[in-house]
Amino acid sequence: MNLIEMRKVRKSYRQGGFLGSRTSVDVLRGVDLEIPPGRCLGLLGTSGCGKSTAGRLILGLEKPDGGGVYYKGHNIQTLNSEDKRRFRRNSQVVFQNSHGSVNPRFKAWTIVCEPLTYFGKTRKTEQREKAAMLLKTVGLSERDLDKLPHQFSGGELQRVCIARALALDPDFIVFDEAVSSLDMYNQSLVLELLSSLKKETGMTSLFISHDLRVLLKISDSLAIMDKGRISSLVKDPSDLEFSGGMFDPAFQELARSVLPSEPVPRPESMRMGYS
Amino acid sequence: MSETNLHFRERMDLTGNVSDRRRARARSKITGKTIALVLAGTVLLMIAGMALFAPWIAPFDPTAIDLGNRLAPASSTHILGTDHLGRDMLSRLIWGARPSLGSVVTIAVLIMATGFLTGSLSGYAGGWVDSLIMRVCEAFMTFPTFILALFFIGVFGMGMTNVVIAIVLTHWAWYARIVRSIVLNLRHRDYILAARAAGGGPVKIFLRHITPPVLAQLMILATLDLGHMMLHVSGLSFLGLGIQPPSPEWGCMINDARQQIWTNPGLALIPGLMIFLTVLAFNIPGELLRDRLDPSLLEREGD
Repeated sequence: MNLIEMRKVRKSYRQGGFLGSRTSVDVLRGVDLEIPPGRCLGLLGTSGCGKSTAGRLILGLEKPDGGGVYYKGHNIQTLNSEDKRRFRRNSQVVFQNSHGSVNPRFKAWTIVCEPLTYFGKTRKTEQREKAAMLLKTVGLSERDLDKLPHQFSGGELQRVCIARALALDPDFIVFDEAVSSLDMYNQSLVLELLSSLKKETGMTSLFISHDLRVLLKISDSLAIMDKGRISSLVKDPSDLEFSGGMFDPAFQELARSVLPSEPVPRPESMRMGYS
Repeated sequence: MSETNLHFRERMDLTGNVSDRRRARARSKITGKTIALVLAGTVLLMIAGMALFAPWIAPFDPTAIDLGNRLAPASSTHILGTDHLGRDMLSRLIWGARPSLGSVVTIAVLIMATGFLTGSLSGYAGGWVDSLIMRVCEAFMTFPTFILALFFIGVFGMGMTNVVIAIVLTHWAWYARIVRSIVLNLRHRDYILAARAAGGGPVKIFLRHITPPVLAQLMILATLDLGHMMLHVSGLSFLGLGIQPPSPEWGCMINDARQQIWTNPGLALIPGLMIFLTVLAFNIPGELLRDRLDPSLLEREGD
């Protein structure tokens, strides 16, 4: 059985309102995703195709307009409050912008233990101990406990965020462009950390990214998303060329937007009157 | 090529000089600010002390009339002289700090509480709740303080309570709007979303992530506004709408001294000076607090 899955999920956002006419924008148009336990599903797509919306929906942070998100076979919208709390506890998230996703006023140990606070473990000594352990797990040290967010580098702070996501030993973590704002070196370090965590804890994850290289390294299977739909599923990313994923139009477009890697002169029509 | 280089170097030098000058100015400003803060703090402490210990430090009963000793000049018994009914000016000044400060503090607390509650509810709940509260705010913002005060006094009678209510009713809407805008700004931060994903309920997240920065901003706003509120209270008392004549209040005292403004200008000047000093003493720490807690500075620190 799948740990978590999306069935025909639709979502649209309304724009305008009150006096102006409302127009609705369909962001997801029937998305199906299945993640078996212990696996990492990569979700690939260009900016604005609905990847992050899918991530927020699968976490239950927003309500779908149609279809449903199923956790261990149960629709998360219809869970009773106790089961909902259990689901919350077992699903966590890591965002792209590490500086934006921590409160700049809090020290590292408070940030890491925030989920513990919400689930009733508020004793300070206990929290600090747990935080020290978690920071070690993600490759930081005990000396970092009392640092404020601005004293960390981007890569380090992203590790703090990962530690926060791990605090409650969740079943399922969503990484929403979690390494996209890091440089190559830090990306590889964080990815290594995630691979080893996956091996050790057997965590299930959804890894959202626009970067194919990252996904090839971390994910067990790959879903390519285009304009609010899953346009193709790749069971084995190492076999991308033979599985037909390469011929997916969305993938082709993605490849075109990334390649060539050198800057191209702007078309004549866009240039101003210099030269 | 060499010409542009020269240009560039010139500019570098210039900017270097400017930044040096600015740094020097900043250094001298810090000392200036500290002096201002210490002075303002001393004045505030003295006024608060006057208000708290009025019965012990005032040399005379502020309401004791002595018609034989009207408009006495300053002497060793009556340090600031007496007014048109022979009451000791110094004692009236000391006792007058009580209603002035007391009402201002009450008003500030009430305004902050209403503004905080309605503004944060509006910003946090959003949707029709937000629209409703904002329309109510706009309705209240259209009332001029003095007109509403006159209305209240006309309906409920004279007295300080009605003055306080009138000022609170005409001022809370501004605070609510400011609180709302801060909350709206904070609400869409990633860390709020992360906190929701981490299992925090709306109330817990509000108390943990939104309340502290909003309260910091509110404190700044309130300290800057205290002086303005004091002027309102004094103004309404001067019109005879707040504190009633026998009991001392600074605005009231200025009103009493109107008849003697040419013969004994001190009677109006000294309470006026007290109001001026207090307003100034409230404003200086407010300005400095704003500089210190400016969120844009905090953000820059955070990067």
